[in-house]
Amino acid sequence: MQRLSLIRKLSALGVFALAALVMILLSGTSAHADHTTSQSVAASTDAWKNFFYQEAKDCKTCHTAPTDDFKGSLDLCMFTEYSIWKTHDKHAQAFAVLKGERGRKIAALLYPNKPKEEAEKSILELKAGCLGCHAMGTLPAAEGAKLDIEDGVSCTGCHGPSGGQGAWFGPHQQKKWRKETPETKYKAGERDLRDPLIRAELCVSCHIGNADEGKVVTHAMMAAGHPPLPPIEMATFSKNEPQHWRDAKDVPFLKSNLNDKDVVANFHLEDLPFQRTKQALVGNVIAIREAFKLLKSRSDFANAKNKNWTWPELNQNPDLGEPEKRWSELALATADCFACHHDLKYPGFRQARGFSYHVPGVTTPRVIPGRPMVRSWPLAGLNLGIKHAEKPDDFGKLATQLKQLTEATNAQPFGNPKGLATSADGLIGWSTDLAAAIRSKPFTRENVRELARNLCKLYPEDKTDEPDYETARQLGSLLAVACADLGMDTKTGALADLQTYLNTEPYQKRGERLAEMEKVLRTALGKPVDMTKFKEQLKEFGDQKSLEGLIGNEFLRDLRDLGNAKFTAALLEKSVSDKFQQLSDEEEKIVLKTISNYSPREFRKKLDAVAATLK
Amino acid sequence: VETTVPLIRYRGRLLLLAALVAVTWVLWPRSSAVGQPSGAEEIRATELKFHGAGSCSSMACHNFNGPEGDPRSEYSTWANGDKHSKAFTVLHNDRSVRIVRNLASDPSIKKKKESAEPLPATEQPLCLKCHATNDGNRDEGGERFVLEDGVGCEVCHGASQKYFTTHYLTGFKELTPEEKETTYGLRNLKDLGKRADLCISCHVGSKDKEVNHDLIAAGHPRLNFELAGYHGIAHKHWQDADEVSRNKDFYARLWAIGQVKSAKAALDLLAHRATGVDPAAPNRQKPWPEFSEYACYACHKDLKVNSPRQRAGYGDRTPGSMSYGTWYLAALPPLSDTFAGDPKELSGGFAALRKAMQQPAPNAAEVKKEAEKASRVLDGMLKQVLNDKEFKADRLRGWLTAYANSGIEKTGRTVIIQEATDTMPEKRREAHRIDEMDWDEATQLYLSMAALSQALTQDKDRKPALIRPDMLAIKERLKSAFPKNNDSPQRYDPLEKPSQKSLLEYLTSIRSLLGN
Repeated sequence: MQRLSLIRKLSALGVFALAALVMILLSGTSAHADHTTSQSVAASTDAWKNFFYQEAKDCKTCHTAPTDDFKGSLDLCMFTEYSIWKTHDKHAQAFAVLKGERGRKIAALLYPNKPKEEAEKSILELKAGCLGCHAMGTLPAAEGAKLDIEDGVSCTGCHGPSGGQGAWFGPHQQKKWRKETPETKYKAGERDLRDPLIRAELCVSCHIGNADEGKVVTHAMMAAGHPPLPPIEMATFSKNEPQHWRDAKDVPFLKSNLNDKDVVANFHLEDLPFQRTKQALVGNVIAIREAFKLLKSRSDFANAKNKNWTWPELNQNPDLGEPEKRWSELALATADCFACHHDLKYPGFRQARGFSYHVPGVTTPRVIPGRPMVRSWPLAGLNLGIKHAEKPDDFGKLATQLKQLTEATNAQPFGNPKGLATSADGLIGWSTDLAAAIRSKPFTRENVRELARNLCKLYPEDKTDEPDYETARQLGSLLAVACADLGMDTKTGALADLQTYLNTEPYQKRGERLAEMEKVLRTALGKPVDMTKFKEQLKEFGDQKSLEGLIGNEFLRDLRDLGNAKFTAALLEKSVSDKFQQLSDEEEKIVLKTISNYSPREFRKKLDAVAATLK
Repeated sequence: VETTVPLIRYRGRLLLLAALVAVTWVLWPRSSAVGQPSGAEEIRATELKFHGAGSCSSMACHNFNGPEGDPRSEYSTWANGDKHSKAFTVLHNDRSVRIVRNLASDPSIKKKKESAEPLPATEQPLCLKCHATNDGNRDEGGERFVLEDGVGCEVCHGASQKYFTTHYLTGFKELTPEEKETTYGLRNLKDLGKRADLCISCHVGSKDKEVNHDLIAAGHPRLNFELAGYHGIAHKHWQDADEVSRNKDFYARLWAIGQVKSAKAALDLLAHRATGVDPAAPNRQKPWPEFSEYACYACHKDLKVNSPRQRAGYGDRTPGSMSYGTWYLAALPPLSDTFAGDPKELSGGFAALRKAMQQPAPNAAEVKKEAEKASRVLDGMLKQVLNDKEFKADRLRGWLTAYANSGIEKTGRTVIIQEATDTMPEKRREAHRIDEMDWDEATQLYLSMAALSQALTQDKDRKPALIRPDMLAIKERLKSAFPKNNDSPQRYDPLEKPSQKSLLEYLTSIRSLLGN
């Protein structure tokens, strides 16, 4: 008896010790997971509280024009990053558009009772909710060291605060910095943007929204003229930003170190030929997580971090009271735009298809017709993501989540906020796991080809499922990315036809925009401008000679000598910002026309045509 | 007047059919169709049995199959031309199948006993309430009663149990319409108020019969009823010309009654919707906000860069809120200046209701209170409209001018009529009501002016001919706004463009032609 009890005691102790060990391990891993899966502003606030955000002008000194001094580092960095951003990238003009023609119109419609000038000032106040995305105005920053709002979306806002004791500004200039792990860099304030998950999280914080970070586009803003946020497919959006970095496969230092385990781990080189597919697929699931995070923040009335950031509507119309009294107003910001905003047609595809949260290739429960639904394009890539991660059980889990979401949606018009918040919570946790699983699963020629084939088979003829435009665009974009990674020609034939039909890359006016930019620079510099070689290099990221050829380039040298403030002022000229706005308007008109003319039947035909080339 | 009297044997009785038909018209009350405000009159509740349209379809009685609207050809006119006769049949078509399938997740849709599949539309009370004689209760029917009749004779004229074997007898014709109704159950449809109530019960809806946004989204057409307009295009099985010729103000009266009654019914329905109780599914809340109360095209439009709404502004609404009252309340104000005891009370009531409804998140309790208040004001107005013996030409002309003015009135805001281009700056001008109107409002304004023009033409007034070209131009703009297969007026834009005049220009021209 005594012996037995001793054994019992010992085994009990063992179990306890084991449990403790497991718990320690688990807590260790989960802390680690947190670190690597989230480098969002919200997550980084504490870690980075001693750092500050340096302005674009501080980065400009080195990152405008490559020189002989930097020759030894051209194998990793291009040193033209500022130039690309400032001349090509709309992010640099994010603030200018607020002062431009569209910004002024929005101001007039949002504040109809204020005199014009006052209304235009009002949208530039932080509480109006515009500066969060258009000028990174809500980033935590040390006193007196904020980003210049006129820089729009600028360098350190994305890359992380580089200034302050222990921050990365000094260290990153040393060659040994490239040997450091992402964790070390993160601790110094630098975000690991080569991680597809972290990059996606960053981009969608504006392109979908993030209430905790003060980045919310309200329905009123859109009704006043803010364009609807397009579905973001990370690989294509990154490419078209345009990239001011090279894909890993084009970077000499990375290409030549594929046998170095540390370099591979530090720069996420595991799936080198298929990194864009990986970016797109992981990005899609992060889009789900962040879309539902936004929904949760907005529908969970008691737990807002900052009420004015979460609900800009409160500032715009304080008379309407607290969020719980105005859900049907608030819900519109996270609702599917084109579920309501379409011309009524009979017969129309929506009524023929029926209503549900559509996951391509998955049967989902029906939503009562006529009820605004949560914007659901991020669900587009789920089927493919689950298959890639080889987590078939996730289909069952997804079904449970969607059942909850559907019930919450059906409970009342705009959905029951409490039910929506609960179901969003489930989807957030589930998609976090799925994104991590997709990221850790290798991307190979075989499974990327399988992914492309599966995508083409999502809408067999005997099924009545039909995707709306945004879902189709997301799928079309994903397919083009996978096919490009497979080495297929995406510029001609069925793939080009599909992309043109869906207008997956709506940058028709880029040429005119650049021509306009040349004019601006000619005036600002007071001399002729020749951007030819600079522009050529952007098309030849794989050609190191082309980059080296930019050393001593006159245009880039002039750009470096032109003060950032002077350049910005030139872009803020009314005639300039209005011209840029007109070009954006033209592009938006084409986007909206595409959506208006979209027919799922036509999409299916074009998908079939691509399928035929995949055999 | 029909003089040949065919004698026929029917159920063992001889009857003088044509005489009855003739007498019916002769007995038409010359003091015009006057009735009492019906309030929430229950149109169809009855203890009486229905006999079915087949019972009226003897060739010798109402199925002579003569030209449309001829006496004795009532049944054939209905069966051949009138869509009401197809009301049940359409429940079999693809559209109806689709509607029920789409609504399957709605708790008020009846399911099959053996499975979770919804019953077909032909067995759904939700559909049958308006598409058949009753919601499917065959016990109310006599031996020839069939639901398949759709909206047949008795739906409008009343269950025939008591008048079926009496209405052709000598003596029946001597009865007053009221006696026929109260004693025999033959509804007095010569009373335009009652006629309006009848049409409105389905075409606007009531608490038991409504087409809400769920149903529309599932595939049902929207309801945008306007009595005079609908009456004008209906395949009539009665002598419309006689009715009109006896009452010079017929069109205007019909329009005025339709306006007020439709608005009242819409308000009562709104108040009911705001209570949140669903009679079909008592354990669930009715949808709120109910989107079908709002302007369809406020949301249902393809998004555009610098849309007409953005160019005209949102008036006193928050951008992106839905506009309310654009159909049933749109054309009332000029009428109320004549008939409302206190026009300010009405306009104030509407303004309060609009404000409550147009909040981005409308408060149901507040809306209910305001809708009930506005409905009570309409009661007073309705009484005056119905008691008014004759709408004189002067008054009709005054209204026509008032309607034109209501569109021309300045709003104190501005509209963008020309976007800025490389070479041209943006052009703005002062905004007038018509510039800010959506398709619904502009159409109601047009329909009101059309009804008044028609009544004045009837009265041999020359003004309608003068304004006719402008009226036609407006009509064309409203009609051509819908591309083929489109239920949205995609091309509607009231503002001027290099290629087109503004609606304001047409209205201004009309106003000047009307003179003082």
